[in-house]
Amino acid sequence: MPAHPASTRSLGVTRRSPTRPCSGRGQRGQTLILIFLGTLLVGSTAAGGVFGGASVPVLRERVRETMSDQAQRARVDLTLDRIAAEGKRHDEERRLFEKDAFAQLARHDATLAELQPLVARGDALHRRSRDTFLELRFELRDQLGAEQWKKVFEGAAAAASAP
Amino acid sequence: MAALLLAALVALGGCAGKSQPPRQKIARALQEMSWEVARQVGDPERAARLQQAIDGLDADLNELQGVSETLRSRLRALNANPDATRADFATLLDGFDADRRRLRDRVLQRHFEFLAATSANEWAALSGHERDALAAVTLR
Repeated sequence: MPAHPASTRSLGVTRRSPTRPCSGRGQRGQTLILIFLGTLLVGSTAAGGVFGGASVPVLRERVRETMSDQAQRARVDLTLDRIAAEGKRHDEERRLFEKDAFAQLARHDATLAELQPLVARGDALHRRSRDTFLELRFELRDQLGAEQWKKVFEGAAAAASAP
Repeated sequence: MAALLLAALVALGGCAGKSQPPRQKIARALQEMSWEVARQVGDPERAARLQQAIDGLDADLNELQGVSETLRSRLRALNANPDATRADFATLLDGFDADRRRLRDRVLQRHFEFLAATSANEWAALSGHERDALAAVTLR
């Protein structure tokens, strides 16, 4: 990765405004969250859905299309409500964690020992979130037959990957 | 000449970076960090150490991107299987967790290499670029 030549300064390439509108700062710190929490792909609505890609509204729609029994559908809806609520709770915890982590990383005087509580907090959040979402995943699995499950998640996966 | 061309492409790219693939975002964020090092750090020995750490972070983040893409695809496939067991999920997620911890330790190591090779003022100018690099991996 070559150093930036002095001649490019005249192009204004690196003289960015204080707000840096084109930088990645406006994005979520997904790398940070992945390496500290790890569970972004399992249960975060911020990553586009639960269990690797299906969003709760899409899952709900797929259940409506594939399940005619209203009582059974109501039970599934309750589980989906809990998945959505846990997703929101996880995203909020993740947001607070991200804020604290970036604040620590911006400090020049921070030591590794000072970052260790953050690392431990990330691991704890990771374990809790992983356990919760797997529990909910298998609760949902118990409420759907094998063919229903396939239809719901194959349809949801197709919807998630559609442009 | 090549550097001028690259700089012009970056300038023309403007905010297009938001729609770039993750690996290009990582490269862009770390390229800007390299340029900032060239501007801020006059000591060639410290600048070289910083560049080495930037190159290491580049490799780590690209590895993380690859690991994440693989996990997402395997997780989606496993979840779609109605016969998947808790043990299947545990095996998959434990494997990812091992990669996550290894990469976390390396990223933290790079971070402290940055701190060790900079003054407080230099880090104030560079830390935003580290942050940009850490925000570059995307999963949608």
